[in-house]
Amino acid sequence: MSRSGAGPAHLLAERGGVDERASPSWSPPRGARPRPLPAVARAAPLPAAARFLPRPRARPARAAAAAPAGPSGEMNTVLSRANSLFAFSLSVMAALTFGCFITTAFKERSVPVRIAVSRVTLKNVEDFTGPRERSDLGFVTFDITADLQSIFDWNVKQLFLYLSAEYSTKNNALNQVVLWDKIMLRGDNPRLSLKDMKSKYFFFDDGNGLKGNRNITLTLSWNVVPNAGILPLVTGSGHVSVPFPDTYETTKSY
Amino acid sequence: MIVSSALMIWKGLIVVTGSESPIVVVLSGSMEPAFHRGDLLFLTNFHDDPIRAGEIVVFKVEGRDIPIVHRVIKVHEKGNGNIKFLTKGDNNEVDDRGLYKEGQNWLEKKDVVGRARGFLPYVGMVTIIMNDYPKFKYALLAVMGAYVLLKRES
Repeated sequence: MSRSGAGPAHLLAERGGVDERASPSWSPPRGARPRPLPAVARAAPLPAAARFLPRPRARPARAAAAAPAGPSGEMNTVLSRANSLFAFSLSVMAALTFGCFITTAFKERSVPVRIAVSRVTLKNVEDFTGPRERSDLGFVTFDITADLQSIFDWNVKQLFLYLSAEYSTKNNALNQVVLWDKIMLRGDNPRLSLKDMKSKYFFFDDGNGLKGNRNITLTLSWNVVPNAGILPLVTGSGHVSVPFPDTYETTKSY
Repeated sequence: MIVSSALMIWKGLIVVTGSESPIVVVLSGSMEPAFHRGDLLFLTNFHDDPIRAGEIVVFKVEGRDIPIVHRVIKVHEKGNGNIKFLTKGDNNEVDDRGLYKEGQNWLEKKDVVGRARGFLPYVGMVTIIMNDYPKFKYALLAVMGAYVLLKRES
C-alpha cells in the first residue's frame, strides 16, 4: 500500500512539499544520529590565537635563507654581530701568528763570520764598575765582517748582535764577557763591515786572570728576536783566539 | 670544570718548564726594541741549563717582588758549578748593578725565575690594563658573570 499510515515527519514532508526541517520549530528527531561534519572544516584545529603565529612548516626554509655564511648563527643584533666579528678576527690572527711561528721554527740561523783583532792591551786597575778590587782590564781593537742578509725573513723583527770573549782562568773555569753589541733591525743594512772598533764595555776580569792568558776566544753571536715564536741564540761560525800580553801597560794610551 | 682544567694546565706548565712563573708579561721598556710593554714571554728554567752571555733571563732581586727581564752580559763560573753573572737591559746605558741590592755586584742562579725561550707580541696588554685599572677588571668579571647567568640554553 502506498500509504502506510503515520511515518516519520520528514517522509511526510518529502511527499508533501514543504520541508519541515527548514522551519524554526524543527528539531532533529529523537534517536537520529547527527550527520558527520564535512572534511574541510577539520583541518584547522588551532586555537584562535594561533592564527597569528607564522606557520611552522615555513620556518626552516626562511631561517636557512636568513642565516649568514659566517661561522655563527644568529646575526640579528648589533651586539651579536660585533661578537662574532671579534671572535672571528681573533681566531684568524691567532692562526696567522701560529703560521708565522711554525714556518720559521726550524730554520738554520747561522752564517759565517770573520773576526780579526788588531791590538790587545792590558792594565790592572781598581774595578770601578763594581767590586772595588784591583782586576785586570783588557782593551781589544777588532774588525768584524759578516753578511747577515740570509737570516732576515718574515718572522725576524731584529737581531741582537754581541761580541763575547770567552776564556778560563785560575779563579774561574769559565768566563764570558760581552765586549760590544749592536741592535740590527729588519730593514737596516745587514752587511757588517766594521774596522778598528773599540770595545763598548769594560773588559774587567774577576781577578787577575787576563795577564799572560794564552787563549781568549772572541765570537760573534746573535739573538734572533721573532715577530712571534722562539728566541734562539746563534753563534756565527768563525772565531778568533788571541793571547793577552804578560805585562801591564802603564802608559795612558788607548 | 673549566676553572680546574685551567689550573691544572698552569700547574702542569710549571712542572714541565721548571720555572715558578712560566709565562710573564713585559712591564717596562728597558728591552726595547726587542720587547715592548705588554709582550708575553715563555720561560724555562732547567737545572742543567747553564747561564751564558747573551741569554735573556728573568730574575728577581732579593727583597723585591717584581721580576726583571734583562740580558746577561758577564758570566764567571767556577769549576764546581757556582755561577755569578751580571745583567743589563738592551735599552739601558748602564748595567744593572744599580738595581741589585745594596752591596750586591752579581746575580746567582737562585735569583733566576727563568730564561726567555719564546715570545708573543701584544697579548699581555690585557694583564697590564687590568693591573693599572682595577675597575676594568671588576667590570669584566661582572659582565662575564651576567652573561653566564643570563644566557639562554638553545
